[in-house]
Amino acid sequence: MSGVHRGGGGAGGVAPAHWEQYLLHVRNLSAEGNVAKLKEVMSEAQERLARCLDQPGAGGGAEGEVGPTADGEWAKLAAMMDIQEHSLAMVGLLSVCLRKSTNDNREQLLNSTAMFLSECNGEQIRLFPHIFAQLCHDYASHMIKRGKPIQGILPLTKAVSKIQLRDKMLTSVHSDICMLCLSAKIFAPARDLLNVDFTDISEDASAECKYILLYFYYGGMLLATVKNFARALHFFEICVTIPAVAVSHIMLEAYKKFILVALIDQGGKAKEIMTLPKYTSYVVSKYLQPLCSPYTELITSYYSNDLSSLQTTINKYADTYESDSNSGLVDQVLSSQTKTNIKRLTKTFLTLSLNELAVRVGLANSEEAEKLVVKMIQEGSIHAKISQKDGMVRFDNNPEHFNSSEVLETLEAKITRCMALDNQLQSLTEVIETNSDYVKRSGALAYSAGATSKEDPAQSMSFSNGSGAVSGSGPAAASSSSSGPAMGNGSVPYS
Amino acid sequence: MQLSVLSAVEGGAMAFQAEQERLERAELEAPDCQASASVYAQLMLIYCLQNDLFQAKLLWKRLSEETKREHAELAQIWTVVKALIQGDGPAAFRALNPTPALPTYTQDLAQKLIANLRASNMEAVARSYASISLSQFAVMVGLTEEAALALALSQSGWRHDPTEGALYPQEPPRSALSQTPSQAQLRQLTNFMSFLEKQ
Repeated sequence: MSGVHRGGGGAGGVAPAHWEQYLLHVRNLSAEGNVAKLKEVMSEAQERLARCLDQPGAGGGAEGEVGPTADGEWAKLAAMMDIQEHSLAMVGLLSVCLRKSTNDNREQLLNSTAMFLSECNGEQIRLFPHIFAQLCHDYASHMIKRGKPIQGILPLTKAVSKIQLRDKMLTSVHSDICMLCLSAKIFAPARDLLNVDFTDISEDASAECKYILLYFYYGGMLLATVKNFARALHFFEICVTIPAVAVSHIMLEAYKKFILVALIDQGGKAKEIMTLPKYTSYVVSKYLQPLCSPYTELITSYYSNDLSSLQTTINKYADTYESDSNSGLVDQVLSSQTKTNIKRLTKTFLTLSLNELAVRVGLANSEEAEKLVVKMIQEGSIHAKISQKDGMVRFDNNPEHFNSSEVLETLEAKITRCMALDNQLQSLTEVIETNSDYVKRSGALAYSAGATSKEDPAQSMSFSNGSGAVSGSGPAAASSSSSGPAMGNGSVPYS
Repeated sequence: MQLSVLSAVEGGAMAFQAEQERLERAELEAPDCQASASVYAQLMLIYCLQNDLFQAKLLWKRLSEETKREHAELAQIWTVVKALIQGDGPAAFRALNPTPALPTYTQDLAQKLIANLRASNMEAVARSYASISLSQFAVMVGLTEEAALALALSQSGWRHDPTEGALYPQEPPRSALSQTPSQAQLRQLTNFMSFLEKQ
């Protein structure tokens, strides 16, 4: 232990001299870059503070005894430290104070935390991002418990920028912002976060996948709330298809919502759209799907073409949907089936009376049918003309000739997006190719392949092409024109 | 605030976007995140103008009961949002001209919303109907039958049959791509081709 004495802090808290010494140590060790020692010093200081706050009379301790309180100790510490200069020294201690605080003394601490999250020194806290992230998680859950989720959004948005190295880096704090937005019934602060296609994961998020799953789960829910079902489906799909070897409750709930949102958004398409991609982890089919029978049955009923079947299934499992808080989405599945049925009719009939249409899709009367057809024409999902004179609807082919400036703009935007994605993939491939571990391993594999089948150069070539075709400059590419052993040599400059 | 909204109305969709972002920020930065009723009222109307009805619904849901009670104009605007979500155009027009009238600071946005709603309903009629009764058309565009008829006949190709009381709308022709490729488009095309050849 480097100078911070054990057992400090009687009824009056930890002695100021200890903290002065602690600050000095943190400053020196961070200047030296001695992360291991720094971690040790910080965790001992946190333990000391926790012990001090656990004393009888501290916080919510025994009545009549006066001990150090979490907010009182923090006030003393904050008076000794400067947020910008001592961010690293403060973050763990603030986290302890917030954890040990009670309902009576938490208000002030939450205000201090909000200020700290907004003003701390990002360069310092990025040394131990997981401690900072834990502070953010605690802060978010306290704001929800206090019924003030909206007040936590701005400080956490600023906190994200402290740990993010790049705009496209997903941090564990993103999930907290989405959780607060969902709880506060506000979408705007999450809008920009949910539009980013992340290509990088921060150290704190990769340490615990729970927060990555939560980001996609809460994000999907937020997007479904504002009826952006296409993006919501993408989020739920990512949540369900994240590589996993164990069952997660978050994935289970995301899978239920995935089914419902897929039916709402893609119900008009073939049933195969409900199938998850091949790379989905085996735990989903093995464990999650059997647990979701009320939802898988919904898919069967949806595609059965029997109007009453879907309603029967919904009635049968109404309690389950209610307890899963999914009844709102289930109601929308029902409306979606009506639209799908109208779309199906456009493939069979050229003209149909509004009365007949209402009967065929299960609507109450021709007025309702007319209103829905107008809405669908406006959305662009069908092309038709209603003649009120004779009460008929005529279904037309898509009048789009793909020669308008709007089509050109859409096409250009999509191609540009594909090109950007391709560039992104190339740069990620290059990062992997120049990773020394990867180069060593691929070199060794190629060597053994070359040794076992020297007569078959195509085998080693196909491997080297697979790893080196994109960059054209990495060691794998250099070895693609040579034999297997040469590829092993190619790894030397990178090892 | 009123001035900035006026300028936003004149500036079109981009200005609405900027104004929306400003009001959203104002809510988050207000003490205890409780903005004034004027911020909420304008934000709700701008969401309607941007056709972002579910954000308007969320806004209404997060307002405290006290705010809803004390500011009747918010409840009036919520009636508009609700009618728009339910696709009930006539109810939306009625709610945009309520008694008592909406406060002055929302008048410009409300008028702009009426104009937008009328234009989009006109377009919907043109795209969806081969024939429609004049009375229903008048309800859909929120005008009297005389004014609605004048509006319909001012559109190219629309016909009116007074004996049947029916209107025969004409869908506007889709604008085909007519302009010659500019330098920027040629550059874009070159980029696309070089990208495809690289693959």
